[in-house]
This record gives sequence, structure tokens and C-alpha cells, in this order.
Amino acid sequence: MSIGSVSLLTFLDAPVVVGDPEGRTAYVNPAFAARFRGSGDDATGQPLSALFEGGVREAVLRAVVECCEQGRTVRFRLRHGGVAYAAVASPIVAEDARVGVVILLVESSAAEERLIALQREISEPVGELRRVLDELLEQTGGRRDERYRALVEDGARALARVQKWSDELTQIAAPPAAARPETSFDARRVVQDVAARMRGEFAALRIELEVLVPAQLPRVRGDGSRVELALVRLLQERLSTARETPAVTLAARPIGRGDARSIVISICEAPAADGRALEGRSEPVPAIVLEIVRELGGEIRTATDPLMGRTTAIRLDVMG
Amino acid sequence: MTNVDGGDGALASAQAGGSIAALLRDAQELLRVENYEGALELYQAAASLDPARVELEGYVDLLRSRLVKIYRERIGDGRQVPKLLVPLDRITRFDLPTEAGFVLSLIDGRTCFDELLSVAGIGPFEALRIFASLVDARIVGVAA
Repeated sequence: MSIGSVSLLTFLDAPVVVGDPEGRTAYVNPAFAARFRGSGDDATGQPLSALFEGGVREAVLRAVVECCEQGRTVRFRLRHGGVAYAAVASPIVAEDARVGVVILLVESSAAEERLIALQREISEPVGELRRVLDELLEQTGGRRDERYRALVEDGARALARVQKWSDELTQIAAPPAAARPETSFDARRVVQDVAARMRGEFAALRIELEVLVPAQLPRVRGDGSRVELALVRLLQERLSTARETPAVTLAARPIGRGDARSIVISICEAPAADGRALEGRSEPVPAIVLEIVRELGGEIRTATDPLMGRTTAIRLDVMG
Repeated sequence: MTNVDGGDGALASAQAGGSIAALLRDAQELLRVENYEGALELYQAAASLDPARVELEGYVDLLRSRLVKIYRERIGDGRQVPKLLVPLDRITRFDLPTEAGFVLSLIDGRTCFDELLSVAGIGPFEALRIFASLVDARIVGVAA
């Protein structure tokens, strides 16, 4: 990586740091040197961690590791010298295919900071409410009194609207990088890979794992490895609670009329062979799964019915 | 200021909600008498009325997975080779849907059910449903 290739960064008012694949500083622009390196000493060759202090150092290093390991842009925020910055860490591939990082820091306004703080305050109780309602919905799945179930469902739908506007607020506070290419994945392959990975664990417990997926599915927007992780976690959760269940089905199909705009991936669990309902034997959806689905702009619901069984359905948008 | 769009949307949503509740009640009745195909149709209709309710799509998949097992039981061992029980010139009498005609065209007397399912290209649920209905109608049987 040569300084020549980043020399235009010299003229930027926003602080920029370039890190090499070894985690050392390859370049800092004058704006960064002025704001973060008051002494004016040359930062080149120093570990990236040496450029920052305290909580900022931790945030930067976490972002750099995520950026280099997963090869994707990571956004984070930091405060230095009483100034708040919105930071974007983007991967850059060196000639030997190893990944380095370029970090751009843009000053945030007080209004933006307030917006972000509000969004943060909202998202935590919304997530908590979501978990509670999902569990309530599951627990009321088999109750004869439909009134209570309808009330919980109404609450879940209202919360989904709050979640939508909270996500919208996140987008306003941290708009997506314009230059970031959209990624997509083959959902059929992901489902089959997950099934192949989990089949042994299911067989060990004598639970059949059936896969229902059409020969072709539209490509889905997002990172397939994240969806794979979410499905594996869900299946592992099912394994820990589904010992009396004869079969679990992993299904995927397009939904909507005409050209599908979404697909649904479901994990379905039949009622126990002796007809016992599945109520009370489930755990809430793991937090990591909720986070992945939300980051992909999708939706997830778990529901139980004594006559049909238990299902966790994930809706994801298709590409294009 | 009244938001007219929002009001109409809420009204439509409430109306759809009422229809959905009725569909789900009927579907539960069908489930009690183990009419899974009928229940599937009603859950599909409910899901299309309110696409925001992802759990309805989950229920659709639960029913599809239940039906797949039923269809497999009707067909029997997937390693068996299906054969036509009705002469080709008489098949038109059955007024079969296009997909069923396509599946029939794949039967060659050598390829087993499982292999046909993987090459049919129409999804395992749909292919199994067609095979099961063809077996039930005694249009298709198993080679001796």
C-alpha cells in the first residue's frame, strides 16, 4: 500500500486513517494528525491501537477486526477532544489479497447526537418488549381463550410498527454508505448447507430433519453467512428443547403474488408423537438471531398451535 | 388534521383482521377433523390478506410439512418405480392440470419416485402432492 494511492486524502477536512493488514498505521491525513496527534509525530508504522485511547481504542479495534474479518463496512461512533464523530471503517484489499482498513471520521452535529441517543434509548425497550410479546404469543398459542391471544397479537403488530419507525430513525442517524455494493446470496444453498451441517446432530437424537426447498429461489439481499449463522442457532435451540419431537422441517419458499419480493424460511416442529402440545417447551428466539434478522431488514416470528406444532418463520427481501 | 390514508388503511386492516379471524377459526375446525389440505388453503388465504403477519406463513409451512409426510405415506417407498396404470390415450379424460401432465411425462418406467422428485423442478411439496393425487386416482401405480 503506497502513500501515493491515498494522497488525495491529504486534502480532506475529515480525519482519515489507513491501516495495513498487520494492524499498523499506513497513513494518517493532516486532518487526523491535527485533531488526534497534537504532538505532530509521525504515526506511520505504529499499531492502530496506539492512535487512540480508552473506550475509543476499544471501539476502533472492534470495528477494524470486524471489517477485516468479514470484509464489510462497519459504522461506529466515537468522541475525542469533546467532539463527536461518526466513523466508517471500510475494508481495502492489498495486492496479496490480505485486507487492510480505511477509517473515515466525520464530525457529528449536536442534533445528530441527540437523535442517535434517542434511537438508542428507544431500541433497548423495544427489543425487550419484542422478546416478551414473542414469548407471550408462543405461550398463548394453544389457549382456548382466543381473546387473549388476539390481544397479544395486536400488541405484537403495534410493536412491529414501533420497531419499523425506530429502524427508520437508525437509517436517518446513520445512512448507509453510498458506495457500498449490495450483497445477495443463494437462499437454497444456504438452507441446504445448514441442513447438511446439522443433520448429524439431529440424527444423534433420532429426530428427522426434513428439508423442503424448491429447485430455485430468488437471490436474497444481504449476507448469506449471517443467515446461515441464524438458522444454525435456531436449529440448535430446537435441538435443546425438541427431544420429544419426531421431526423438524427446514423450509424455504418465495412468497407474494407474481414476481416474489420476499422469501420465507421456516423451522417447523411437529407436535409430539403422543399428541402433547409444544407449549411451554420453547425458549425465546436467541438475541443474536433477532439482531441478524433486523440487520438484514427482515422479520421473524415464532408461533405455536397445539394441532399443528411450532414454527419460527423468517421473512427476507429478495434482491432487485 | 385527519390522516385520510391512515384512516382508510386502518379500516381496511380491521376488515382484513376480521376476515382473517374467521378464516383461522374455520381452519382450526378443519384441523380438528384432520383436513390439512383444506386448512392449508385457509391459512394461505389469511397470509395473503395480511402479509405483515409472518407467523401465518410459518403456519402455512407447518401444514405443508405435515402434508409432505402424508403424501409420502400415500406414495410409499420413494425407491419404488412409478408406472402409468391408464393408457396414454385415456389420460386426457381426467382433465389433469398442466403440472400433473408434466409430472406424468417424466414417468419412464425406470426412474424411481425420489429421483423424479429431484428432477421435476417444481419443488418437493408440489411434486409430492401431484404424485399422491395421481396415486389416489389410480392413474399411477408402482412397477412390480
